[in-house]
Amino acid sequence: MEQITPDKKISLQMVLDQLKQENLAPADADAKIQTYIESKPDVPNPWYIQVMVGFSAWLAAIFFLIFLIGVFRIEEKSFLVLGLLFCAAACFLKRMPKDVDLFVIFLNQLALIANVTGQVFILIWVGCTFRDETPICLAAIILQLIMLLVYPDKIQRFATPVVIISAIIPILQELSIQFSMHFFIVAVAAGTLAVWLFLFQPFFIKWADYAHPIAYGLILSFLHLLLVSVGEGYEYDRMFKGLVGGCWWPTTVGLMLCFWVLIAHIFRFYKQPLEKLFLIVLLASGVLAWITRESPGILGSIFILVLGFYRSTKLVQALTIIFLAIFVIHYYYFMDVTLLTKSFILMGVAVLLFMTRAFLVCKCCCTKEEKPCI
Amino acid sequence: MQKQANVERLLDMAKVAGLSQEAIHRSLDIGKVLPDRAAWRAFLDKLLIFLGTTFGLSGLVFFFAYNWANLGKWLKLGLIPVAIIALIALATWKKVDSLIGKCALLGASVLVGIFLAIFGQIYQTGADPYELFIGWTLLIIGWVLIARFPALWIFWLLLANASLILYYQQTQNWYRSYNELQILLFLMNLLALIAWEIGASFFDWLKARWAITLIALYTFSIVTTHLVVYIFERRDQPPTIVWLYIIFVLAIFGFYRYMKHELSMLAINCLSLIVVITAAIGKELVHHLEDCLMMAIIVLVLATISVAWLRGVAKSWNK
Repeated sequence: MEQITPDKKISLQMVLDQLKQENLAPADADAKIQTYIESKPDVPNPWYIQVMVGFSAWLAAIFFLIFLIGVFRIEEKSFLVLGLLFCAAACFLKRMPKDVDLFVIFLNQLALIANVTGQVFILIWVGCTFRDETPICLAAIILQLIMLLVYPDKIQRFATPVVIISAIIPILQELSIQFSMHFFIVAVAAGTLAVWLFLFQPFFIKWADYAHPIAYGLILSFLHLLLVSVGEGYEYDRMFKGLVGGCWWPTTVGLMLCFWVLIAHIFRFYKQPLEKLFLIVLLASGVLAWITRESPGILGSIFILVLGFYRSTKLVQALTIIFLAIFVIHYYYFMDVTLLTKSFILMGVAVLLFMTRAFLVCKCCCTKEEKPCI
Repeated sequence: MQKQANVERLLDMAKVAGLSQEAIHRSLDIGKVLPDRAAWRAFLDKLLIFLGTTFGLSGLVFFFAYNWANLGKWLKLGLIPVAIIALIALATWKKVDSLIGKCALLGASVLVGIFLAIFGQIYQTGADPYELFIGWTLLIIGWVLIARFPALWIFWLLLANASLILYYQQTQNWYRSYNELQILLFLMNLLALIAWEIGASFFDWLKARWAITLIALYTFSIVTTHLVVYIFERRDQPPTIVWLYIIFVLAIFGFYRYMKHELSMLAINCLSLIVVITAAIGKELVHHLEDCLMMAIIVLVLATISVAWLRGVAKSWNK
């Protein structure tokens, strides 16, 4: 058995041997894993290739839709039949057995185009029939849920939370419930947190093919939803003012609570006592939340950044940094105070962050052997 | 089984072997795929320093932008050099190799720009904004060189880009010189990309892939956008950009396919090619709605070939 040393790269075999030594893995695990590894095609499919596939399918679907609608002058009622046919064709193409690599990719792309076209056709039919925004959004939500179950594809699974969350916003507008946007954003944050925290539970691991793309879709939806807080102007007021109620602090408070739950979970995971260090983190995030209360994107981004680091996903961290930059710039430009007050607040935040670092990194995180850095 | 442990593989293993919750956590722990104490420490250190520096510098920018009447011109002009000296002293004390030292140099570099702006405001020098940016870019180059900090190099490149754009906006006919500006911007960022890639072979601090990807994405976005604009609107101008694009695409393919194995760069290249080829064919061949079907098929075929090729390349590297 190979020994695990600090500078050595750890293989699956080494992990498994260690688990078996500690009686945490069954004796026949080797054979099962070996069979699984051999049966799984060793084809790399990183996220940027998925993005390229999604973008190309979306572009091709636009051309295809223009062609179908422009050339054939489809009647209103035919949209539903055609839409259902395209969705069924998409599922068939996706599920049919394939051998040759190039052919698989071609059919997958074709299935994705048929899927987009089918869904758009059904939504056009719903729009023509009900002549209202809400049924279209409800239909989009139902369609996404159905396709999530019947269409086995990572891009579809990723898109499901994005489309559903985007479709809920017009429904909230229609219902005109005061402050509902705050509850909605916090609910999405809590849902995202729950999914990411449970990602390593046996049940979620069993459904990892669904859970992982949905988890990434939730992150993008949440960050995208926070962009509502940086909007302004007449159109923005018309769309969101009723839902938001002219202030953003309720969202910030909700996000702060989510952040605290995350911190408590991290402390529990690393078996750290909820004492001094925990209280410092709560206090610092509380002060930051109070200062940036009208800009929930800042705390929201930091929340996702910490979550992304906790789950070791560089993609989430990179995406969050882009959004964080947008929220910080918005914070600079749209705070409703004089430039002088703004500058003092910003410098105050900087002092708070440096002080937190001094406590967290240099005093509390250091073990007895490590030399404090200040 | 000899493959390196990562989150995906360990979770696959847990699924197949039917591991318990405790065993899953232990496997992640043994595989060292989740951050340990030292990683959390480094993460918090970086996060708090970067956020603190960003907020602090923005606060300083707003403080001077407010143009406080109670502050006399000497005080205004004096405060910034004092802040710069303090930051340089901090960088010297904490050493330029430390993150604090690097951030202090970044702060000092930003303050140079504020100083130039305040100087121009007080003495009404009549200088154009592009002169301020060129001066700023040149004055901080020493610190950029000694800091060995990718973020500061990216900031410097951003200033160089801004200087070039402002120069053309303020001194040239914008419409006529658009072509020339885009080509110069492309060449400047391409040069930065080449220099960075060469430098990465010699210096560890230049191995930050995020910076290289960022420069490559920006370079691709400039050349692709400009070529699409050329295809649709500016066919009367010399086709320099077309030749530059062809050479660029081939060079990227050659370098990242055979010399430095990097699939993400090849994927960006393929995506750019899909956009350009679709635009070119669309401009030449789409005259009726019927032609859109052909466009859909072309995009489908291009994407299929790209994905198949990328996966083939990745497989050949793994062998």
